[in-house]
Amino acid sequence: MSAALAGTLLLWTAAGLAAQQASRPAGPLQLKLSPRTPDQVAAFYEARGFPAPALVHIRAACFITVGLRNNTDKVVWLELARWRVTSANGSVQRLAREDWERAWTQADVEPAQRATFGWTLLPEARDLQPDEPVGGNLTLVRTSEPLTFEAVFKTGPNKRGGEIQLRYENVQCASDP
Amino acid sequence: MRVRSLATQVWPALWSSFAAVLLLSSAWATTVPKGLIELEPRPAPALRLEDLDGGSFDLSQARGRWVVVHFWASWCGPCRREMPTVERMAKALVDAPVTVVLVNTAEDEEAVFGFMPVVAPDLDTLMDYDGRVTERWQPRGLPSTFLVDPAGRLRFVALGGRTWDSAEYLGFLRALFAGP
Repeated sequence: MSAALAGTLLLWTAAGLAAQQASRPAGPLQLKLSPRTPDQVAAFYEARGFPAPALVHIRAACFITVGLRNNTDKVVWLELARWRVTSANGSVQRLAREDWERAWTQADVEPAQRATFGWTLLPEARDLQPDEPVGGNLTLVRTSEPLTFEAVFKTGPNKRGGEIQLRYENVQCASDP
Repeated sequence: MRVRSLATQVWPALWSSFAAVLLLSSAWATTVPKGLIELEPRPAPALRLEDLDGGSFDLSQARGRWVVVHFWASWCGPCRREMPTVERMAKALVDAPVTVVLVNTAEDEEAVFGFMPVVAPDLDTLMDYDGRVTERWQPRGLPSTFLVDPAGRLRFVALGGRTWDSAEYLGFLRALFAGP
């Protein structure tokens, strides 16, 4: 077995998951992707006091709610920098926290709303202890193209325990009906 | 003679078994339950907030007691599931040297009034209106719960929502709060 293969705990591919939700119920990592429509996310944030100019930014983006649970008995590292989202046209840009902070400054969003938005985003980087769940929104520049997600997770306390790789194909940003 | 002999032989064995059972039950009670992580003790961040009735809480004034600090928000599904177990835990430990403190993260009165009377009517919450106190504590997410010892040090953090009123958690907390 090659070193690269030995270092890879698992590589899963889920193809044809074009529906509204993609999930894997078992395995070392339980991962669920739930695309949200612009109406859904705008309603959520509007109810929490986000001003109209902020909702324009929110409606323009692609929100995918991610649910993740570490089913292994070792530490797993969530690092969004190791996630790649692509379409037929190439790499799809992820909207990171600093992108949103710039938008909030333009839209005069209050600290409370900024804090709420921050807590609803998937953490950029974090350890996941055994049996620990984490959830939040992954935000992308909106596209109508089918998306492929490739996520790599380091494992072990020093990130030297091998990798878990997950791949999802044919995920789509949700649109309003 | 026979009786004494029996007693001599049987009682030590019985006492050994009894002691072993006591030791085992004690070890079970103090075993850190799944989902609770022991931290390297370090001073807890400042926490001084008001509740909806104008009352205030200052963590620095709570020395000598354990403090459970629970961060939550009404939009958070796991918070809704966990909160009733926090309420039952607080009731079960009412005589223990512990103060249970809830901190709502970055919401207003309206959101909290719509949540607490339905989900946990016997609990009050502090209000972190702009979310800055929560930010200072750097929880791993919401909900998030820290255990602060009587010296004001962070000692444990819970991973996500937990069943605080389970026998496993209550046994551990009772033993922890009772001290060595």
